[in-house]
Amino acid sequence: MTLLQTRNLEVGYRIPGAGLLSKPRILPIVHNVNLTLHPARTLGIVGESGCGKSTLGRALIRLIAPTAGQVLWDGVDMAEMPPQTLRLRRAELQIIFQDPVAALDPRMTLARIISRPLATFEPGLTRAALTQRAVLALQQVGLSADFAHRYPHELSGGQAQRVGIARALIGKPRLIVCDEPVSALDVSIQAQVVNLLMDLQDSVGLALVFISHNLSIVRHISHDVMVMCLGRVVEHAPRDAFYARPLHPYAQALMLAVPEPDPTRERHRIGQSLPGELPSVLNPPAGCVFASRCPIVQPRCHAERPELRDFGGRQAACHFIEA
Amino acid sequence: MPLTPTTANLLSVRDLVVSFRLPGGAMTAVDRVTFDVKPGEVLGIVGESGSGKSQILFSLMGLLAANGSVGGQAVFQGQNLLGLTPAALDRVRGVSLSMIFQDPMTSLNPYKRVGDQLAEGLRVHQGLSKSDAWRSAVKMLDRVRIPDAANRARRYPHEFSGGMRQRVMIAMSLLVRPALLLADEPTTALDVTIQAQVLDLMAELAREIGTAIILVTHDLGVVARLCDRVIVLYGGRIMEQGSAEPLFINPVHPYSQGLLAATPRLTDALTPRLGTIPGTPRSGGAMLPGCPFAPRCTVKIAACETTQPPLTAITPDRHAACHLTGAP
Repeated sequence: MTLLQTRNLEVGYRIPGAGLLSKPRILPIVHNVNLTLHPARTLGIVGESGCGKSTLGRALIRLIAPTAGQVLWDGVDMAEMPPQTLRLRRAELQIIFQDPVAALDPRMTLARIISRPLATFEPGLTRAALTQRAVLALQQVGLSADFAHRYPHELSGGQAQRVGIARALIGKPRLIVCDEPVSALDVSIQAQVVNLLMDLQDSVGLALVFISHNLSIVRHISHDVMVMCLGRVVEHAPRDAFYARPLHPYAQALMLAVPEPDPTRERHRIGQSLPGELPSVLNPPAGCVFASRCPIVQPRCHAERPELRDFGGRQAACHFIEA
Repeated sequence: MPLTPTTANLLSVRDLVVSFRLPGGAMTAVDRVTFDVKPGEVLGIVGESGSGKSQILFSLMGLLAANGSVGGQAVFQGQNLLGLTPAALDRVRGVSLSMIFQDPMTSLNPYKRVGDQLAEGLRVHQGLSKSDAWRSAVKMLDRVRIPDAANRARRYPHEFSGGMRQRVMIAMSLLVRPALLLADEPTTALDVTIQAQVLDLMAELAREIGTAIILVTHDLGVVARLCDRVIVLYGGRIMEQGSAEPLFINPVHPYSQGLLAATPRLTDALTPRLGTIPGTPRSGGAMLPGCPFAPRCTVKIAACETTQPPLTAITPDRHAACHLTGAP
């Protein structure tokens, strides 16, 4: 059963035109994404800042409308859903954010923050019923009932992220987009939150989109991995195949760049970094997005953009991968 | 560890205490921390938020907040940094002690051209002429691989990317060829491939100039890549210290063990769940009578709540502060 599917999804932002009187134009951010998500599965989306991973995550749950292509939820194009239907179905599609404290209204109690979505999804509940549901959600994320009457400033970062997850859970979602959910947290707390998400997936069959720059954590939580670079998917593969042998030179570079807590291995990685920086989204290259930094670049890469090709159950976008 | 500072060490910190006056009373951020840095050595200080890791650097640099106070001793090239007058400290800071910070944008002056900011230190501290200082600045920018350095030096910080700004900061801090560089989370704000470049650059320049580095970070991977020795800090105290490689392979303190278990590696066998440390890092409050890690420790005994475990030698190279880890 397919939960979510995209077809040639394109996402962009409206920006002012070049001149004073020129019309606003669309700055394309995410190009041609095709993905499928099943219940109880996790898709990891990896990339560096500006690669479009957060924009894609938001477009998947239609916080941003695509500029072209489709997002199908349960087989129905979300653009075709009547606004009232879409509004109610949003209970099924939730998101948690990178900065867990900024995502909570400082003037509301946690019970109110967590139960707020129910005003839309299940209107008419009494105050007592709302609090009771909030307490249940708190317990689901490992916080005790007495947190219900606290305020966000009383929380540590890890607790605040649990509250963000509780709020996402209250409408009984089938998919949660997790946008860098642990990168603002302390190391010992990151592991707690990742384990919590995995437990929730096991117990209620949640699908997760896990957006992160941390390849080790993505490996731990994901079933499939997608690598993005400058708005394009450069590799998309099942987890084990990807980590055993990433095909795209950019994915390989990322894998080498991640520092690991292993001095013996790390000693040999000093001096191995790739020079240069990625081009700007405002001025994308005509050819391959990674051409300016690629260690195996050829003239063809600057002229012709490689499309995603199939390599036995996985895909990568490079002219020079041997099948 | 010798208890009196020796000349073989570039920096000898003894019983460093940093505390802050707060409306609710005093808060101790760093509690009797003792360590040495040898010339050219890279020392990593790892810890989570509230461990006091950054405050160690700020206190050495004389940059504590106005409500902060410092105790103990930090002998650097024969003088106690903690007892210097502001003018004397300025002479040390411009010549042999530099610092780089996590956020390169807020450490650069947005109103001044990058080249002028670099040249300023050379003119003030080494008395170079304007044109000589500018030439050295451009050379250093080129050295840290800023493309088209001669023209780039005429530009302002906002015209640089995050990775380039951090390389500018590194250029600025190493221009005076300091004996010791203090680096506070220097790559935390950067993307991984850019982080790799900056770490490479720090390693390369430190070797070339012979600069010692104290690198403060929460990232065990960064420590593993760059550091010769590691201090694991928790709640303002040293939990464990020793040479990087053996410590990572065989951590003896429950906190170091927990931290390493919570950090997945790409090469680990996959486990159903990540290792965790229960509870949350200490945030402020009074010092506990016992071990600061006791509230989160899964193997604690009664003594841990009441008596501070002293930092003791496990091997000549390794020290740990835990009641459960005696000498082998």
